[in-house]
Amino acid sequence: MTAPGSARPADRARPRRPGSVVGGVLLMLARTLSGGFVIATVIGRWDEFTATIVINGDRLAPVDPDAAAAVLGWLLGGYGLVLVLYLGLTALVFTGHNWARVLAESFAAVSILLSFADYALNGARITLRTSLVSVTLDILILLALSSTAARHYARAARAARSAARLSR
Amino acid sequence: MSDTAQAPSARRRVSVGAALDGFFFVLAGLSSVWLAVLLASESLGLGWGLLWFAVLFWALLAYLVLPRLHRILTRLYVPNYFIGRTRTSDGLLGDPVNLAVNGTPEQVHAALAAAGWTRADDVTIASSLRIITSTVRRRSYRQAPVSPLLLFDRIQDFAYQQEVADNPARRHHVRFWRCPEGWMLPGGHRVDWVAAATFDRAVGLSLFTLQITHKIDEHTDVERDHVVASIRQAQPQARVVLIRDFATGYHSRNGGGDTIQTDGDLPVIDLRALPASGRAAAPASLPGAAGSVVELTGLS
Repeated sequence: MTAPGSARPADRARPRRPGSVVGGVLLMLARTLSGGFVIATVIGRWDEFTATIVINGDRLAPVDPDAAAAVLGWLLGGYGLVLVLYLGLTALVFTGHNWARVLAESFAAVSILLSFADYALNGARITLRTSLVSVTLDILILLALSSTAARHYARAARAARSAARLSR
Repeated sequence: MSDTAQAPSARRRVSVGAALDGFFFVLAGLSSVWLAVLLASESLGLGWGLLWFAVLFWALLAYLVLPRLHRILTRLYVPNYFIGRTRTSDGLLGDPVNLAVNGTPEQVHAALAAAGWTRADDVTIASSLRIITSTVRRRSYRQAPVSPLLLFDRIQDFAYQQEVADNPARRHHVRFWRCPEGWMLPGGHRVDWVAAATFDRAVGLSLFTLQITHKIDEHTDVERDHVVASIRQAQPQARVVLIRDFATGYHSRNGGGDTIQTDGDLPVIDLRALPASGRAAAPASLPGAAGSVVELTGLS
């Protein structure tokens, strides 16, 4: 796409990003941030958290502090990796990849359904001190990404990409 | 749907995607109701935070929960063919279609500009913020955006307005939709554009979604006649075909719950005789002399 004339139809085919997608992406960023906050909290109180690791019913830290630290490190590393992948997914939702949108919706839906099962069956209390913020974020993400505007945007962006691929 | 023209494998993939979309759409609606319940029960435990939570609760209800529920329900029971009414983005019935126009886009734009109408800005974050601040501070915003209404499954192609007394809360406005190729009004009248003209009289709460919106004047005929008169004054050669009693039965409410009163006449403004770029002369078969009003009445 070097000629100025040929760039125009592609611009027209590329749809404008609706507010629901921008909002959904911001909420996904907020969800990642809250995860990063959890990691920072654990690192800040490393000794307290290593002391809580229990394997086969016994506390690990008094017996083998290095092993306890390693377990916690692996857990945090794994969670960090999930967050980085989620961040990548957020970027793909922003650029209008439909599968990324559906995957992000699925994560939110599973999380909501698990929370709801816990709430309805086990009588878990969902308040500001427990999981209200993360449940709220999940529901808002699902609302934003399942909206008609977000759906049309993802479909239109996909069509624009395949049209661009064909014209290349 | 255009999907049906694709290969069978692609069609199946699309329909799985559509089923997933539908599932998430409804699940999001239901979980937003649950979120409203959670917020309401949480707010009971808060003392002075209650007011803050009440605002949050209203925002959630008005802008997320009720629109989503309306969308799910109206998709089930509101027909999607032309019934003389536009629809809001939530699927509710919106302002009535009370005007039609024949002519090219250039002729429509030229006629409205000459008649003292200002084209409305598109709805963007910047223009939305500006209409809020100018309404609160009572500042003039002559190109204020109008909310999207849908007809033929499309948002209006463009909208024109006239602000009243430099107050963005009160304005004349009319939205235009280009009719699909070969489409005819009920009764077999072929027109290029249909339009919905209403007068915004104040800012208030929508009856159905509790959102902040413009309230329209219930006498939509006054606004319709104002549009026709302003164009005829500016363009004396414009012809008008008045279809009498086109929509006599359509007294109802619009999407914000405002009542609508109408005599049901549908004026078709014919601008094809107007000079416009790209079209030299008017077709010879236009009804009536230049500037005339032709009345079409039913059998009686």
